[in-house]
Amino acid sequence: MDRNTKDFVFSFALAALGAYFAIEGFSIYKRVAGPPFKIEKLSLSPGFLPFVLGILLVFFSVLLFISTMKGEKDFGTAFVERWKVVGKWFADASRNKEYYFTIGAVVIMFIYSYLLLSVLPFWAASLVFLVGIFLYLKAGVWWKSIIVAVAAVVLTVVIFKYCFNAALP
Amino acid sequence: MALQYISTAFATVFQPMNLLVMCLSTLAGLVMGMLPGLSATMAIALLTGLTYNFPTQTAIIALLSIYVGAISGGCQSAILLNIPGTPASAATALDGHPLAKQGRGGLAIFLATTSSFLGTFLSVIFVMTLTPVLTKLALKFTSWEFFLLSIFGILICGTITSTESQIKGWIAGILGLMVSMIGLDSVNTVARFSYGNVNMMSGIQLIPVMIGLFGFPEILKAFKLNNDEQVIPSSKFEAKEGFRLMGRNMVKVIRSAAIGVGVGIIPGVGEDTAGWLSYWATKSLSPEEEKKTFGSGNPRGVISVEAGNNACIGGAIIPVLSLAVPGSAPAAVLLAAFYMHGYRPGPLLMTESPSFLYNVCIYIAIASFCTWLLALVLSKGTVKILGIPKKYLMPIIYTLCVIGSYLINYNMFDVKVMFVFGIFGTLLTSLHFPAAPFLLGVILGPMCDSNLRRALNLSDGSLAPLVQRPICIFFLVLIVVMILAQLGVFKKLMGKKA
Repeated sequence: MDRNTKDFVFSFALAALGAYFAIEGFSIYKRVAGPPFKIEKLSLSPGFLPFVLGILLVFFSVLLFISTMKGEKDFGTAFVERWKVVGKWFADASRNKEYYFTIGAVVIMFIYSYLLLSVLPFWAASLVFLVGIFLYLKAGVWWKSIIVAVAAVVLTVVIFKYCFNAALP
Repeated sequence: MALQYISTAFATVFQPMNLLVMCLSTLAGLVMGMLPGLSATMAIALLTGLTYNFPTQTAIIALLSIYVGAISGGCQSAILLNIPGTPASAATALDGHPLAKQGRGGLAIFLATTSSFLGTFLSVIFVMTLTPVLTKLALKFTSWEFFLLSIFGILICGTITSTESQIKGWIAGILGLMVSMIGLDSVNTVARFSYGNVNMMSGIQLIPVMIGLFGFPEILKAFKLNNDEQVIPSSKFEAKEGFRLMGRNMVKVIRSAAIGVGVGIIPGVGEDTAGWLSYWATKSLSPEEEKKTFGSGNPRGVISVEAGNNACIGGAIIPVLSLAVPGSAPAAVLLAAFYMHGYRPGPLLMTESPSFLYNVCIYIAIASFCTWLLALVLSKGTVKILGIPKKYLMPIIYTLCVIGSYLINYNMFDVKVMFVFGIFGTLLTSLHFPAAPFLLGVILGPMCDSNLRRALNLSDGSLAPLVQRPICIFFLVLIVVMILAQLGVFKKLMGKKA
């Protein structure tokens, strides 16, 4: 996908985020207008800056969107064509092994950060993570991957736990 | 009084433990700066979490040393590998790598490290002289001015760091400000965007955001890399020739240092811009005949880039100390680290902790000398690290990112925040949105919000003081002119007139 099309798609997401922020900012103002705060002016409420930021984001997203459509003679056709390009990109991406490979690595990192570290001590979680990701990335032969992982974990634990006296996860 | 502070700073830094920490941090910085993908920002962000338990002065020494080391270290991979270790050294590769190809890699490294040392050292003089002046000026600032200053900082950072449309830089800044809105507000303690989550009520911690934003995309990038880069072995340093060249080019070093400091003072604009501008200045001021030699191994190219990007260190620290506004992305992390270690940079710094300015200056000056010495003595060994396969190195770096995020609050929530912002950082990078304004938005968000709220409370919700105070008018005019200029309004007006 070329940069223009990326910006085209992202401008919609940004505008939606901006609109959500503005609405949420305004609802904060509505919330604090009642007791116990009784802040009656929007400019004095804690929702004022989020409200302004939301509007600004919508404004700049529209500018970004316009910049992606610059030079297009037939706006309607160009608009539809862009979405077709996006659809084609998704279709191509679903067949691209490189994407799946990277997503796989991100999933391993996610499992380590969200699950392994919650149930295992740091050294065990890190060892499982490092061996797993080294093998997944085909960093080297399996025994070399295990040696590097063990060495890295031992060194990290010794330095942080014993030298820096830090409590590890 | 200043002399007393300086002598105390010297005494502190020469304590055996602090000296050892300085050497180790400098070395770590050199190595991290040398490795493509590990930036100075990431190095400081990682170390910030790790220095949490250190005595304050030791921690400050470690953080400043790794900063200086990382910016200097980037030149070695730029010269020997043609891949800059940090963005700051991107311009060094232009002439450094051709020199290495000619078998003069040692001379190029000698010139780069010596210029780095001189650039940093000269910038320290600027820090010592300009910071108190700026601090005095900043004392005239009220909440309105601080609010506008933070907006101006984010806008100018977005303008300068965007490689494409400036709108993208501004959007990144707004997104950063939005992230800083999460949590209890500073005036009425009303929960905003926290969805009943206790962790989110206390706000999003800066360090995990920074580690994720800058570290994660680089880690993912390395997973795709084919490690077939050729490292050119470093030759002899040719120290005699190196010193002769340095002596002949002192004017260029001073000019580049001045450019570096100037660029550093501009909020959010980093060492890479300083390096390119210094290179451009030296090239454009050279005789026509010499201009042709730039890009094919001109030592002056290496000297000016390295003096410029390292002088940016001092430049970036000036607004950190005087206004609490970071001059570059690494300086932004440093600001967060200063807060974490109990210092409150800003207009009151010279009143509350006057010794801090001199401590910082002396630590940077000695760290730069330490970097020069270590870079030259250990360069033969350290460049071997460039051969470590990234697929082994980067997952290990990720475990360090986890530790760095966790140690801030000893809370697993921060590790999760780091991961989420890592994904977000990768998205920003792939969409060519600059990360620096986003980071600046997260950092300056609380300052922006609390000052605006305070100011509005004092004026009973009226925005009129914005156009009644001279400094406010100055900032407003700057902001409006900058936005209109970037949107091409002036060009269109000029076109209509013509």
